[in-house]
Amino acid sequence: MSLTSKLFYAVSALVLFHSGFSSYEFHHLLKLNPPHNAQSASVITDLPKDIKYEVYVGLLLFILGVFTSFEKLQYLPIENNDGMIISQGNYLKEIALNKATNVNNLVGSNPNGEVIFSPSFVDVHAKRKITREWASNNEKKEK
Amino acid sequence: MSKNLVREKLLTIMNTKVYTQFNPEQLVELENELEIYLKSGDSGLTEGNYFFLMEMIFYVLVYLNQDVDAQVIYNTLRDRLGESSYKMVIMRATLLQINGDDKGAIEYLENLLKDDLEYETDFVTYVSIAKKLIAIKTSSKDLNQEAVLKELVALTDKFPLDAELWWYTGEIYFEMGQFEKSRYCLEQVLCITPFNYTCFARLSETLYYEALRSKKQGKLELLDKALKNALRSVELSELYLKGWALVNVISRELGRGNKNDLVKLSESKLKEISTKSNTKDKITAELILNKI
Repeated sequence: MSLTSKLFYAVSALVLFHSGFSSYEFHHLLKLNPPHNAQSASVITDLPKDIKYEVYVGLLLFILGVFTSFEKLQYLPIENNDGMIISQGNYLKEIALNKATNVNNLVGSNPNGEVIFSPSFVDVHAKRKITREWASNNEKKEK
Repeated sequence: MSKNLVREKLLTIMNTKVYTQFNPEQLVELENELEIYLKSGDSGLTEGNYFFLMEMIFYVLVYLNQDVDAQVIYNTLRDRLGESSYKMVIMRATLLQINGDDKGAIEYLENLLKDDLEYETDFVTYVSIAKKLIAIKTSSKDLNQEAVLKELVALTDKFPLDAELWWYTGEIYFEMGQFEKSRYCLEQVLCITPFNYTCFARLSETLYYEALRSKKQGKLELLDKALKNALRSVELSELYLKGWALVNVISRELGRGNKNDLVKLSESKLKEISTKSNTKDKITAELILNKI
């Protein structure tokens, strides 16, 4: 969350709290000093405009806070380990499937890997042999 | 680097099981990254995902010949979760395998299948253990390719909704050059996972090879089917390299020249992939473009 959005949230919370407190005070005073006749009652019992406007401003600031809290979506590539961060410049994920899968192509992952890599049928001995050979080759190179 | 990004990356590797395809160097890097990440204590990691990551570390350690560490991970998980879960059973069988006791692993799994699981209704457990059993038998050279196929087909009869089983069967048929049977298996995978664009491309590839082998009359029909499947794969994933490469190759095989819309479109998409996609795809796309 960016600093701007945090600022918006804080100010909007203060403004909304203040408008709520003002409304409470207004109603409390109204209870202590009830209007004497019906004509003045309809005018006085309405919430003052400044409190209403304060609520609107508070809500507006809150919405701005939500919008500015969005950050560009970022990803790390699956096979590279150099710390390079990838971004498409989008704030939200794509909805259409053909566009949404572009993220997978970009980071180099396959969402159907559980099926197509046949993980249940991995030949453990073959895998370990390849690793052993790689390790012994590395040792030879170091020598 | 944000922990969220690392977490997402590791969970993607775990979910897509891509670590089973990693080379030794990548496995070592993954092991280091996992170790650092888990030591750093990420509050955003759920308990379930933590155990899944532990399972992944177990297999990475097994592939890296770090048997003692793998045993420690297994013991930790066993103490916490017990031994009854099928994942734990498969891990135990793997440990038996790496300790040189393939027969013991086969016996252990066969007994489980015969004694309890045959009469239980938990199909996930049964099929997962049965798949592991076939894998062990294959790697210990207990079964030849045809015997493996026989076991796989029997298992697909019993569990027709397991996509991985159909895919693997299809791959074996493909290796044997039985494209028609391989095609049938891939079609079954598509019935179970209809948005599997990789499978559409594989089906297209199978049809393409079948077309190259067949006589003139059937060839055009098969190529047409192959093209449609390749197009379906890129319809599901806009920048899928294999899909566009197949569209290009098959269109040319169909006798369409450079001015054809599909050929032009596939070339432009391959150019886009060579600038936009991941490093591996970029290089491959460039190579394909150079050859074209």
